Amino acid sequence: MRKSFDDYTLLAGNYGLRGSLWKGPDHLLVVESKGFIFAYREMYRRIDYKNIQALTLTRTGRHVWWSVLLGLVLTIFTALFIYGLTTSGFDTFTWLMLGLGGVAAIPLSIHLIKGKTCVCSLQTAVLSLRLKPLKREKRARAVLADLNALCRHHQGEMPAESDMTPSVPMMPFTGVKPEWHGSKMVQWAFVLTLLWGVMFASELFVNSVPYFITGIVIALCALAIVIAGLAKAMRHRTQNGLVGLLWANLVTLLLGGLAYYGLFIAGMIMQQTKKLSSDPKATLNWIANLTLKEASWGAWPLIGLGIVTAVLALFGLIIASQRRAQAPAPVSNTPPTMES
Amino acid sequence: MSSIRCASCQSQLSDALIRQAGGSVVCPFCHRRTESLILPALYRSALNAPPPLPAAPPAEGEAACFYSPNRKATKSCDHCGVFVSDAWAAQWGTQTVCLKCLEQLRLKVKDQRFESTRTLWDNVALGLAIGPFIVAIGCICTLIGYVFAFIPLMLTLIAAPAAIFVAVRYWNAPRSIAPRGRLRLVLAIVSGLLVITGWTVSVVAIVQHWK
Repeated sequence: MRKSFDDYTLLAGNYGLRGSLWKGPDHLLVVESKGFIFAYREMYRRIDYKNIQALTLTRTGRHVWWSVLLGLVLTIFTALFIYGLTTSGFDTFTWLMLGLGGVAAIPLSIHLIKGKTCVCSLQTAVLSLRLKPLKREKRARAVLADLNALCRHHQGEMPAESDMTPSVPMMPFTGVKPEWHGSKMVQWAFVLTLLWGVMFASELFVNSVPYFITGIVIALCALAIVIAGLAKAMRHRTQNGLVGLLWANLVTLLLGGLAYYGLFIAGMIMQQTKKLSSDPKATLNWIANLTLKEASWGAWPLIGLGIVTAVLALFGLIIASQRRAQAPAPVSNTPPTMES
Repeated sequence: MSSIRCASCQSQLSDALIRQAGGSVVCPFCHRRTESLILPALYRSALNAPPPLPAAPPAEGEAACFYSPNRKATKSCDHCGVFVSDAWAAQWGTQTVCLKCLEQLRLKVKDQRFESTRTLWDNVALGLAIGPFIVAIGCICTLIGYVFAFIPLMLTLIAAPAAIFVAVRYWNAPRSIAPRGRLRLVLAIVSGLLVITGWTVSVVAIVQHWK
């Protein structure tokens, strides 16, 4: 990507979906992009340095999750490499695992070198603009320091402490999402997920078709409410704990669905190999009546998933109840009574 | 009291509190550490000044605003030259333009200095050419959704010729505001041609096999 054109110098970003920031002579050019896979549309905002009121940086914990995820991938390949090396020496499998481990190490190294994550925004009298290209603290600090120097150059010195009181109240910003502290439906989502987690964990101990079907119905209801809750959370400002637990519950519910799908495929294969009768109900009966012994090594991941789901849902229920209790009382929209 | 918005959750934070804490506070809503660089404009906002009163009609011999004749003209548009009042003028960098010219420059003339939005046709062409393959690979990687990979692969029948058409039709169209070459358009055409060749060879091979 070119580092400069006309009067502009690149501060951060690229041609991708996050857009870019360009330093102009008297204004900052913010390029915002929209699209899927590639950026299909660019929007340009030109913000005069003299109008910028504040530059804000907030640290996020996203880098921790990325480190865990990428580290987990690397650990799996390393473990498989060691397993291959100890069992069969340097064969194709071992080399493949070594290669994949090496490939997995590249994004992890880049991620660790880039450092901690953050979100940055720029504030003017009428808008608060998220600076999407600034997502790493190290780079963001350098860019914000550069912008701060430019803004101060165009705005002059800070006024004296006594003059620091604007004469008009704060104007409401456009595009700021309203607060949301969860709802009764979210609490119900956690209750249903908790119930399903317990049922899923005990599935191998209870051999009953109605029990199995009830579990699926509860899981589907919980999934629908969790998705609705997340959709609402996207349109509001929500506290991180609640949204994180909703996401975690969605993931565990989907993993549960994946487990059901795997069992269903196993049942189909058994029908093909004549281990089960060709009756369509045979697969359902087989899954519902699966025992701990029959599930063999696969039993413990299923029980573990059920327990993790139940624990996460329990946490979610506690957090959701706390958030609702902390929510400010709704403002009455009834006008005050007329004084006589 | 002025306020600063938390970059993460957009909650209002008191500027006095931030200044007292040396620029760094924990947001009470999202509990994340927020650092703010407060600038003089926060206290010298245009909003602090009272809005200008309706202008008195221009006196005899004074220039009137072209768009609001009851207002006194204070500026002239650098683009079309008409006399305009403050209400009808916009300061754009070093230039003063009337609001009609500003709209025309942004939406119709597409002057790069005023442009507000642009479609990136080179990316559209490249997306049509290789996007379906990326979606198909994504479907295969999910393991469960591999059967759905068939849909984007079939879409290439339409997408590949469309990619070539878009690349040729918008060969000279402006690309991103940050200048870049035609590599994406070339890649789109080459990929499109490869896909069409692949489909042709496959169809001919199937027909030959049936014969």
